Amino acid sequence: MSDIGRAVVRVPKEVKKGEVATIRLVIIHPMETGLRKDPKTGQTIPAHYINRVEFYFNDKLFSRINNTPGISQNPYFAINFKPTESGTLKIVYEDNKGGKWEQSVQITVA
Amino acid sequence: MRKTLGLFVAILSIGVIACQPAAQTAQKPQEPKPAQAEPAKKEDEGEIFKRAYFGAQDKWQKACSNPLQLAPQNYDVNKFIEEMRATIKYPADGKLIGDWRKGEELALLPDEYRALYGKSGGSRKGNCYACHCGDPRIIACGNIGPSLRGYGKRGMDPKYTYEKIYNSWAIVPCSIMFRYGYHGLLTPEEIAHIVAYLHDPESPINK
Amino acid sequence: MKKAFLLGAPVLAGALFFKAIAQNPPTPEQIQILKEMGVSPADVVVEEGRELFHNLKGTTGKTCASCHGQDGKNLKGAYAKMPRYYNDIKRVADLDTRVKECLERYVGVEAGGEKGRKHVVPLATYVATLSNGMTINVELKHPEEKRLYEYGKQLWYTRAGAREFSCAMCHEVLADQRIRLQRLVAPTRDKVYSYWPVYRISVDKVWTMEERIAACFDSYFLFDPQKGKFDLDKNWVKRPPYYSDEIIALALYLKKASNGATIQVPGIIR
Repeated sequence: MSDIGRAVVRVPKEVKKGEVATIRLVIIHPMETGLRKDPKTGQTIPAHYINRVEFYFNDKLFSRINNTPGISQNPYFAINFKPTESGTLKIVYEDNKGGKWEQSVQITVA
Repeated sequence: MRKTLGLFVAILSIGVIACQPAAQTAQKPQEPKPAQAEPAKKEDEGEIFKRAYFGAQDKWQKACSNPLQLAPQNYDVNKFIEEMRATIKYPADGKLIGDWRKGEELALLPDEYRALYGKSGGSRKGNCYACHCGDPRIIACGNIGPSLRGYGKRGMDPKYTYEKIYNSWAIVPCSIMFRYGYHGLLTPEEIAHIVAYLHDPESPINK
Repeated sequence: MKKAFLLGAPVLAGALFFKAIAQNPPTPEQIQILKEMGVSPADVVVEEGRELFHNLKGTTGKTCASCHGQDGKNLKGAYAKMPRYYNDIKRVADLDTRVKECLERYVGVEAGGEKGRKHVVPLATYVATLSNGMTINVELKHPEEKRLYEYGKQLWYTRAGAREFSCAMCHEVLADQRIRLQRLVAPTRDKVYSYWPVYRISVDKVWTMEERIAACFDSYFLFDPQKGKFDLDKNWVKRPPYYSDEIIALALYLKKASNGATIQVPGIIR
């Protein structure tokens, strides 16, 4: 399908002060657990999965997900947050093979 | 010289006669040609597909290809049943009931067999549980056909079971159940094993 | 470093989607999944399609946007009327076929066969989203459209293969019953085309209707009569090639049956 690491972020661009916003993130990634065997060759397919997602707001880290490979292909992550000022939401995600990607969104707090 | 010429003509004419197109491809349904044909490769995939789809249809399938689906159209039903019955072949040794264990191997998919017995076995040929339920240990069973649980206790005639599996259209024309033996999906001996799987009191179907 | 994605369009699409749900409810599974998630991997494919639409260049130097406008503004509502006859290719084309022909003729990119799907599928999904919220309205005006529709209807009822399958057998006669644990869908009765192209969770891919129709034929157990009877290893003819008449005819038949439904793509199913 699409390239590995490509993602879509959904978060309200405008948030009222004091309101909680949900960040939804879908990433294209095979999320191989390292336990599966290729049915044709019998070889174990090496692990290849997103293992860290970090959320920054105005360059300050406010949440980090360290996950193990129990999440299925093309994973969906969602967290809630309450921004107190306008700024840039930055999401940095990595996988166990050194892949690293970033998404940025401008959030306005009314 | 004349003898050789005569032989040559004879061989040539045999060749011409032998190369007549097969009768089964002669009658295609109203199949329109595309306004712009796809460029032909060595053996165009589209052509192979059309041949396998329309060209391989037998006349009974054609009769069943109507909006009603479950009854033949423009075909005398009694003649249909007679012709289907005539295609049924029985096992060489005449035994309609074989070994239920072998029948179970044919009826279960490899994954199902491994799940139940922990060893490799099973077959893609029967796949009975796609449409039927039976052995209560198999939960992923379909409800297209009636449940076969306790089949052997219903007092059915094994000959009926055999014929139903070999050519179910001999019993119900245009039936949803397809014709295992007629299409060569299962040999007569294999069908006898499945009959045993259904009838034998030791079989999981009847326990 | 991937560049940042703007939110405007996806949020709008999402909002439109949830509004559309109220008008034309999709399957219970869909509602459940999308209420909880609000975004699916298919949206990533739509984004990829948007990128390709604006940036993919081939031998002609043009992109899709050169002719069809920024953000596909000239293509809004096009999907609602497809499949239809196109004068330049002189045949009735469904979404996939039209995208493939455009890519090959006007962009100058190889787009046929399995390899071409990596461009055709994202672009097709993107073009389909341009008709979100609109009503499916396939009209049979051109004689080719009428002919192909009748062909599609005929195919729908044709019983073939070693399993004597027809589309109608499972998806009309046996609709709502189960093959093992999967409920059989009734695409003509339930106007299923309103949410295709779709994200299939069971294979983690976006499928267009072409893939779905072609996949059905894998189970038909079709065989080449020139090679004798069906054989699992030696004589098993599987799916028809992409963009073939049979697939377009069936797509036309199904799409016309979905007339009146509101488009909300991409959907998400098992």
